[in-house]
Amino acid sequence: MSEGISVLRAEYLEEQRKNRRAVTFWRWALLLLFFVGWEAAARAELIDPFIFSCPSRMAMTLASLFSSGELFLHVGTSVLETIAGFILGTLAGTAIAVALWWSDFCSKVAEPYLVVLNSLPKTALGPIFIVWMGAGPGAIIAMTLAISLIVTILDMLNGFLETDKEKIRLMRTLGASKLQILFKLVLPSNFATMINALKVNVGLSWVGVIMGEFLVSKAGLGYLIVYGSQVFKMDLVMTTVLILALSAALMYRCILWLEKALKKYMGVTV
Amino acid sequence: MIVSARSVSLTYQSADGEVEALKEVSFDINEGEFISLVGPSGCGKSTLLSIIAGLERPTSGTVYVDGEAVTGPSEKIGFMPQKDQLFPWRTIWGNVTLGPELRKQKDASLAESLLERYGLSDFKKKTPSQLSGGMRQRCALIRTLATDPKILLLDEPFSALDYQTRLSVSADIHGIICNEKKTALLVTHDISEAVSLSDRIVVLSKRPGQVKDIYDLTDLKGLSPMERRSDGRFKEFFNEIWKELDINV
Ligand SMILES: Nc1ncnc2c1ncn2[C@@H]1O[C@H](COP(=O)(O)OP(=O)(O)OP(=O)(O)O)[C@@H](O)[C@H]1O
Ligand SMILES: [Mg+2]
Repeated sequence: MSEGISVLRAEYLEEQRKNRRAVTFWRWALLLLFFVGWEAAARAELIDPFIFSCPSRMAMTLASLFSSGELFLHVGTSVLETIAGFILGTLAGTAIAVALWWSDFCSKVAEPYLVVLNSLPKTALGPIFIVWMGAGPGAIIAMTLAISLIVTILDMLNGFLETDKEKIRLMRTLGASKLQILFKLVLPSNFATMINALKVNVGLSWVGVIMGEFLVSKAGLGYLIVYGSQVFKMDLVMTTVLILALSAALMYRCILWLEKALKKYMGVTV
Repeated sequence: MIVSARSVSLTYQSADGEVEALKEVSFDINEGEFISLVGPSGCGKSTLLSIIAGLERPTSGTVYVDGEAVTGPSEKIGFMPQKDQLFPWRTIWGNVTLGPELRKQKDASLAESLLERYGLSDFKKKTPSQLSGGMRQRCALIRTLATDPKILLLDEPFSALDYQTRLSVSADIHGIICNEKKTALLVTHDISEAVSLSDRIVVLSKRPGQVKDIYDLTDLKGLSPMERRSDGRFKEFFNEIWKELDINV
């Protein structure tokens, strides 16, 4: 391995390695410093742990959530709602974008509606969904859909319309039908757009789920946060926010893995 | 005559007004001929190819292919677009069998034998990005040949290549087309490319495109593209066509 490598190259690689290690070190150090500082400030009574909580109390809260099994109930509920939301949002958004790509007329008719719906703050629709669908997961998933659907439609449609004109010309001379152009050119060439929509929708779905759970719910991380703040259990609120951050980051990671796997499966190199 | 354009005119309609792209264009192509189409930018060359390929209907006039009026895309016509337009999400094999796949033909033996004949069999499972520019161009041609068309329409297929590559790739593609005994109509901006490859050159005027002149290069027949470039008559043809194009800088 190290044969064939010039001294300069070896030095460069060593430099890179050192640099990477320093970055990793400081990332963890910063985290540790933050929590230690927080704990110390609470112990020294610089901040009131009743209001600001502190890591040791959060750890205790986490342990009790874990042992009572509540942790899995709440994390599971929110995660399932989010997954349902972003899969539905991405699929429905893509399907509607396909329909609009297919028919120029429909897309012209839909345009002003998309513009208005896109600029509407979707959270305003929350109470309506609750009335329509009852206080439960249905309303929460509807909330996530409302947030992610329009953006998905617009992004996907844009991608579809930017499909290389020369490639479409080529497909047509090879006798392709519109359906074949869709499945063999437009969709595969927009693979990256779709993955991107998926990534954006994970984030948006979390917003929708937490918003929804704030409004109505008997379980979920959003519920815990609202409940905790109402009974003034700040330890519970802070712990939940931390769990939420970890869950959301982990889910995003999963999407990155999925992207990698799909790319490998499809042999995509772009 | 395998292709025959009779008084073909096309006027594009759009919200901003009318664009008269082609006006009364008539010319013939004999079987096995290699014809180049040159003309100023925007004079309707791509439009003319689209009409012959059956993708665009002329406002008036008719194109006949093999004696039949063109009404839509046909198996007799193969099209080679600008750049190679290979699909990066397909392997080389997936790309060259695109035509048979779209036409629901199970038999891909022609693609197989073409890959074999032109030395690309070993690259079947590779992706386009793993191939050099010249090899990609070969694949693009094989993709077009895989449906066994009689006539090839090439719309500036070499325009994305650098000068050196372009010289050898155009000679290579020309060689394959002659070898397969296909009729070809090549659109190009490059007069020297046209003179080095063609049997005849059709010169279009600026928009609306009309046939300004047709040059017969029978004198140079039998010479390879490289030999033509070093032949004394090459410059004469070049200069004449250059003057004819009347490109004002
Ligand atoms: N779909 C369309 N609608 C309206 N005008 C068009 C359309 N397609 C082409 N045109 C116009 O028709 C004219 C001829 O276009 P065409 O693409 O055939 O020219 P070209 O000779 O191929 O040009 P280039 O050398 O740049 O490739 C141009 O002025 C172009 O702007
Ligand atoms: Mg053109």
